[in-house]
Amino acid sequence: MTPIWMRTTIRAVEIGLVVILLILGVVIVIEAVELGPTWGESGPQAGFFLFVLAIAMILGTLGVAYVNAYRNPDMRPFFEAPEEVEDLLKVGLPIFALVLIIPLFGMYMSAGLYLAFFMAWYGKFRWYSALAGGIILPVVLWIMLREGFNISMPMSALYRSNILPF
Amino acid sequence: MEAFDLLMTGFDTLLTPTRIGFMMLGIILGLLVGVLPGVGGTTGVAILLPVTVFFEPVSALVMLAGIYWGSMYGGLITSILFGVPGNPWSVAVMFDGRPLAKLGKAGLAMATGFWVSFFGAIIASVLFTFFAVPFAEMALRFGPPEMFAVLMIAFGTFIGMGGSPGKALIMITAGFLLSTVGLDVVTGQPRLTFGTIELMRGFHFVPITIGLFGIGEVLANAAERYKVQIEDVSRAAKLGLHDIIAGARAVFSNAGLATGSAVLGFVTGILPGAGATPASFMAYGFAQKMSRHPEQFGKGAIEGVIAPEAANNAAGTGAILPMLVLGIPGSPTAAILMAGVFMWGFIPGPRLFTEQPEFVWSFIASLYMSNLGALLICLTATPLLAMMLRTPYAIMAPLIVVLSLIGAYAIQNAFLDVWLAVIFGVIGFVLRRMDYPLAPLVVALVLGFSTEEALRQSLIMSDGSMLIFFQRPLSAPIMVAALLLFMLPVFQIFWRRRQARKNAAAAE
Repeated sequence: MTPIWMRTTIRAVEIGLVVILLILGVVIVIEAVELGPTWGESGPQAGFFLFVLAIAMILGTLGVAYVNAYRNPDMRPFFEAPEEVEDLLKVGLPIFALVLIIPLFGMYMSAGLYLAFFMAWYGKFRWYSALAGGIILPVVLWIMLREGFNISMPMSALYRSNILPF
Repeated sequence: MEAFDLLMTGFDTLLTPTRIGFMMLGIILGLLVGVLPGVGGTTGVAILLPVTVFFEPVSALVMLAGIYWGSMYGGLITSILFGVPGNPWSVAVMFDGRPLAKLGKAGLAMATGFWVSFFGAIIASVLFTFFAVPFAEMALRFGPPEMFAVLMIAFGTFIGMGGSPGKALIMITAGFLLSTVGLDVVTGQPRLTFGTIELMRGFHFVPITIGLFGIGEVLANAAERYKVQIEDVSRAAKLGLHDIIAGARAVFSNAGLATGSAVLGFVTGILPGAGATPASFMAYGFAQKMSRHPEQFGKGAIEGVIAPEAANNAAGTGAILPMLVLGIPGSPTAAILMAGVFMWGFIPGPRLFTEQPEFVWSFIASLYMSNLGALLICLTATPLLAMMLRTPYAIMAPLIVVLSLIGAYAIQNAFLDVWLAVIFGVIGFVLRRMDYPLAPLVVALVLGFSTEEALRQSLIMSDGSMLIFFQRPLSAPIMVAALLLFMLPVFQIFWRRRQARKNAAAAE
């Protein structure tokens, strides 16, 4: 039995997108009505443009939904091969992990850890190559950003407790 | 002639070692970005924009522009050698470039491509130089209604000339709505902030573009990886002297085609809804129709390399013209450059020409110099560039991600922007897959504020009447043109129904 992510059709994703856009549209319309969707004495009220734009978006979404979900549904699978999903997750999940660890380890250490991990795990490099990459990258970034351009980056928890300079 | 004198001042300002150095750095980065399949020209500009905030404006602009032009040259290397387009606008050159490579004529194809790219870019630069001043003078007479009308044309081109008008409309409205998040300028009320303080600052344009084009491309590339195999590079990429001469000769014999394609590309580039990519396809189509041997196309006709490459470089140049003169970017990359112009403290528009002539004209001078630099590097160093492809994906991809996140954070030191980049990376991936065009989203996001302001001011001038756009002599024809563009998809539906009925009747 093919797994559910391989059976998802393009049409299903279109419908999903339509639903999300419609929900967003309705939420914005509600906010626009709160702010005042009409013309005041001195010109458009704060909610006017929001209202018009949200309505236009809802209409556009309904039109696209009509064509793509009803008239001409594209029933091909969204993912053409299981390798797609696999590679996507292998590349995408580490990116999320990276953003999650930055507050803890600071940008420089996190970037080093991320590169080392990815080189070793995805690229199947030897542990010493990955380690080298994981050290060289933060050093190069440090030189470029701190000394060169004087751009500050998020620092690690250890920095904030004054233990390390990064 | 006034334009010529101004251009000379531009060269004068440009020709300092620092600025030339930044320009060459930009070109080299652009060539690399163009060669690497996972990264397009737009991505490179988007990721490096935040870093340039800390540079001096002229250096920053010529470096970013150098990346842009460099990527136009680099993209054709992988298209010809491997059939892997490095940019969307390098796809058309693949149709005849790849067969030429298979016939053993890769060197000829690449040399011709480089020469004609240079040729197209220079023609476009000359057009740019001479149109810039009259356009700017005309734009000085624009009031808010004219500005709004021109903005409507900009969005109309997306809807009328793009693929799916419905999806383009959704993207435009979404971009506008994103631009409204934050405090309303006139009334001071928070809009779409949902009570959070972080959202009161509004969404900055840069992290969103970094997400859509930087991380989004990394994800899109990851999904495609199982399909692409790149063969051994070093042998195929050599460019000999006879290739270079033969390439130049090919451009000369087809000078008419090259010039026509360049002009087509320039005009297409000016329109926001059409850029280098459609220009390259259109030029290819025209070249095939007007050729004496159309059946050769697709099998290695040299015209099939000349037409699209002249057009796409010209279009890239053309996209900058409305950006500088009117503040309306002709392409997403031009939109990013425009954001840069704002960040360096300038306001694109006709006054930029009068108040900051050194900035504008040194950029225009760099159009010529960057293309010359890119041509020289390409002709001499193609094997080196091709060797970059040997960089393992496991190093390249994380590097792009890290640079993207650094860029996203560097803008306003807000960690929210880093999350924004990642979230829009995922959104960008899905949207790309589902054929939702990203360009209107980006342009609407950048222009949202100006459009709303222009509309508000016009309506204040007219006491609330929408007729003002049609009552003024300058804005009326522009508005009518914009409305026609918006209605174009509706006309197309009726046209298609008539054709179907005619065919059905003829078949009986």
